[in-house]
Amino acid sequence: MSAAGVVRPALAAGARREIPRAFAPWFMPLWIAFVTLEWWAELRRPLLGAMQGLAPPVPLDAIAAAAALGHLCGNAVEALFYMGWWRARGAPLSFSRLFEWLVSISVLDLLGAGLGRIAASHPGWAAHVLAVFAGPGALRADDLAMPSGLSAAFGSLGLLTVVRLVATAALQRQGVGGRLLEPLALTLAAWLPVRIASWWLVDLARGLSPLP
Amino acid sequence: MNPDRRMIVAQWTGWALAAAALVALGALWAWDRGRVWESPRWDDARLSRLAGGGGGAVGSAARDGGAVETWVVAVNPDCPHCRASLARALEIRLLARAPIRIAALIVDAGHRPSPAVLAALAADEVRWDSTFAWRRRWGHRIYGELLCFDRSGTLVRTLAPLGDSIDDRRASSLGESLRREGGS
Repeated sequence: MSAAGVVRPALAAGARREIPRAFAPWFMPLWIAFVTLEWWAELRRPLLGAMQGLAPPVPLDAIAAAAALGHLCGNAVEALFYMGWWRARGAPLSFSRLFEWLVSISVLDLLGAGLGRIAASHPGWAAHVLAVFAGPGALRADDLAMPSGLSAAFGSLGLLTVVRLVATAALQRQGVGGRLLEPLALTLAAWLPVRIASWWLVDLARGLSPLP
Repeated sequence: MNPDRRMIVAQWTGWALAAAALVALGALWAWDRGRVWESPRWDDARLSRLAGGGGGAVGSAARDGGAVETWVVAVNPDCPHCRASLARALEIRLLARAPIRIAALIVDAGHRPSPAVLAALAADEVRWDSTFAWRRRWGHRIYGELLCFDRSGTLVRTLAPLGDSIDDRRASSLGESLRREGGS
């Protein structure tokens, strides 16, 4: 990329680069529906615990469905963001392929959440091993030195999250060429402020109260 | 200016706005975290006793079979989670045979709670935070949390709202350890 922020002509005008497809086109809607369903189940779990014995005005399943669709929309917004960034620099990215991949690698977050649950039911050395993959939030709060807001924002920062971030950058590199460093910097620049904002917002919301 | 250049300018403008918003949020966070809050006390005169109790925390605890701590659930009358957290605290006391009193502190309620609200709270004692001390002076903001006070009315720990299995387990083990250490 030039100092002016435009991707070098060799990338823009050369042979057209393309992010490879994650799956065959006919299978993609099914796969996206499956991943969304898995997110629905994942997001429903904490709601079930929190609403135990209560009668919420909106059914839990509907709340979880809205949250899962919101997650899917988040993937679309993320893909649009990267697409817009690189397109302005003369390196068009395919929105649909990036979106497909972002949905696909969000499975890593689901895996992390699953490992976190296993860690919660197996405190001790097993939880510490799993926390390497799922993030420090997998440890019981007793073992966790981080304050609540920080834990809520960065508790899922384990190897799986690192892999997801690097994979997001690698996908962009597949589409725009060049070194991995630039898409990685962009990915981190998009991810980190959101995490920091979450940390501060959670702290502002809880005050001195502890979080569940 | 060509469209790509315009797009790049728009993107950097977006980044600058996002950075400014983040800095503003950070400043608010730093100010909030830097505030000096009062340490909660169960014998705070600003808390109006509505039901249960009798004397101060010291006397009532002594009368209630040697309760070593008073666990106070912050309850907002419109919050169903608060009532669930209170009910869970009562269950845990029963299961762990913990020598604790369970009280409800009505928070963020500008008007005196109605008798129907009080009747729905099956706590040993109910007090009303009529001056919003819980939020404005103690700095607490999550409904359903548990404030654990010792016999002298001093805060010894705060627990997250009950309902989550990990928090329930922690509260149970605390209740059991209180039974072993101080209960009679």
